[in-house]
Amino acid sequence: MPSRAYLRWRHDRSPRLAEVEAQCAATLASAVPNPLLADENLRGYVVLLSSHLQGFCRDLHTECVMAIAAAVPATMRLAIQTLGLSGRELDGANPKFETIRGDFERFALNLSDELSVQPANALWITHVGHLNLWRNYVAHHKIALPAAGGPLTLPTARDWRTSCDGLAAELDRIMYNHLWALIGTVPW
Amino acid sequence: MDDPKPGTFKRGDRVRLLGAPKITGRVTGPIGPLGPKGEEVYQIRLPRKPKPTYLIVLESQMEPIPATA
Repeated sequence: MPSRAYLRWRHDRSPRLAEVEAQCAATLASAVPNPLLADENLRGYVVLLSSHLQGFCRDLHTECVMAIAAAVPATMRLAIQTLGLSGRELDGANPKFETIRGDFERFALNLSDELSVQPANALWITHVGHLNLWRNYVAHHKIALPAAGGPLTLPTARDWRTSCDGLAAELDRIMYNHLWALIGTVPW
Repeated sequence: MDDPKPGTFKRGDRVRLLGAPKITGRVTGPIGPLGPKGEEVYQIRLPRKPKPTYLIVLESQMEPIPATA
């Protein structure tokens, strides 16, 4: 059973991103070329993709904390919630893999090991790294191009989105199984 | 992005935590139905010095503080 965070990814975040992606494609395919608008659309898409990945990861993390808190005596609940959420990097930092891993490993698992079970995850993690590099390039209007992942084109951004889709599904699966083992009941 | 579907509380409501009546604060917003069985989750702001503290709790952990209290 999917988490609410993943359902939101699939049924709200993903359709929103698809709309922006379609807008990028339409601008590129326009009979009257507008390269400035096409470039700005693509830059916007990259930042939004990173933003939605961060939102998904934070939602899933919150859902995990709430599931664990619900499994402890009520007198301990607030302490567990506070410990689980205070100083969470996903509240402010970009969704780099290191950020995601650091926050989810609070739940006593090795996320890299868990992800290594599926061979495709290595590429998805690499793409999330590239997405972050280009997100920063766009958001900070940097001069120097990122050293990896480019050039920034719509097919490249599509690949990153596909990888975000895959990673979201994997995180959902991993946390479901891990929390089930941890608290002895299905978490959601 | 649109706010998640609102629950009982809304932004700005004064609340206290059940079981910890000395902890009071204001709702800064609903986060979404991320609690067990889709229970709404809220962020609340606690006035602390030198800076406020934020908690994320379930709807069932809070009760409203009447405006006259």
